[in-house]
Amino acid sequence: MEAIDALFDRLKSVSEEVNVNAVFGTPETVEGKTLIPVAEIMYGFGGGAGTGPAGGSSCEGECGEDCDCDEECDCDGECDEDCDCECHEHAGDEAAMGAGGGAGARARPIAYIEVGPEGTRVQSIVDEQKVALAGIALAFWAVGWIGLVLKTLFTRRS
Amino acid sequence: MTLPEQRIRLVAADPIKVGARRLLPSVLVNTLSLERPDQGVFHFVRLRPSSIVVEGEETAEWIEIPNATGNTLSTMAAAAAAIAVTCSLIMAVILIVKGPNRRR
Repeated sequence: MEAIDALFDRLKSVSEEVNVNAVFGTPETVEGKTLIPVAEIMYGFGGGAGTGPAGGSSCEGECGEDCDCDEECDCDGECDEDCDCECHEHAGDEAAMGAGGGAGARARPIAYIEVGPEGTRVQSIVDEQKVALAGIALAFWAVGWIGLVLKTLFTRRS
Repeated sequence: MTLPEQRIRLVAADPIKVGARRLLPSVLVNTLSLERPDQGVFHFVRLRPSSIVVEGEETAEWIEIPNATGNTLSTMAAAAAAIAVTCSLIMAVILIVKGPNRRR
């Protein structure tokens, strides 16, 4: 568990090191104008860990045709009334442990700042692919609703 | 169950010097975090540029940094909602005008 805690602490410290200056890129001079790229940044991580009890128990012994001794038991004396199995407790050295996690980051350009002799202005960058997909979805949505209206209008009521 | 903690801050970034001008950018920092050993650890940060203040030799100008894609998508979502409401009203009017269903 200490290793997991250390990993999460490290991830958190890395995320805190990504400061707000990462949003603004390095100024570049192009044809007498200075351009500064601007991006939206998202990042995150998450995870969890857990431990189970130490040791365990299992059924062992001679089995008949309908008996299955290869399973866990509660160690209450017998595994199965019809079987000649014996329940054994196994004392484990360490508790069972499991952990999982994930992390991700994304930077998306949203604008650039143009600084020239005539002044400073911000030019937006439109994600055309996203807008086009949303436009197609909106068109299908509108056609669907108009179809419902026409169906209501021209359906004869008896 | 504990809900994640959300913090929204407006943070000033380092000034950017361009010729005689000085740009003072500000960033909106949205943090969502959950730190519970029994539930897990979760940390999400979104950094969105908000605006810049352009300082000249004698003047200062505030310029907003718009999210054009986000604004367009919001407009489309509003249009979708308006289409749904309008068509529902039209269908309701059509059903009222046609009268009650006589089928048993």
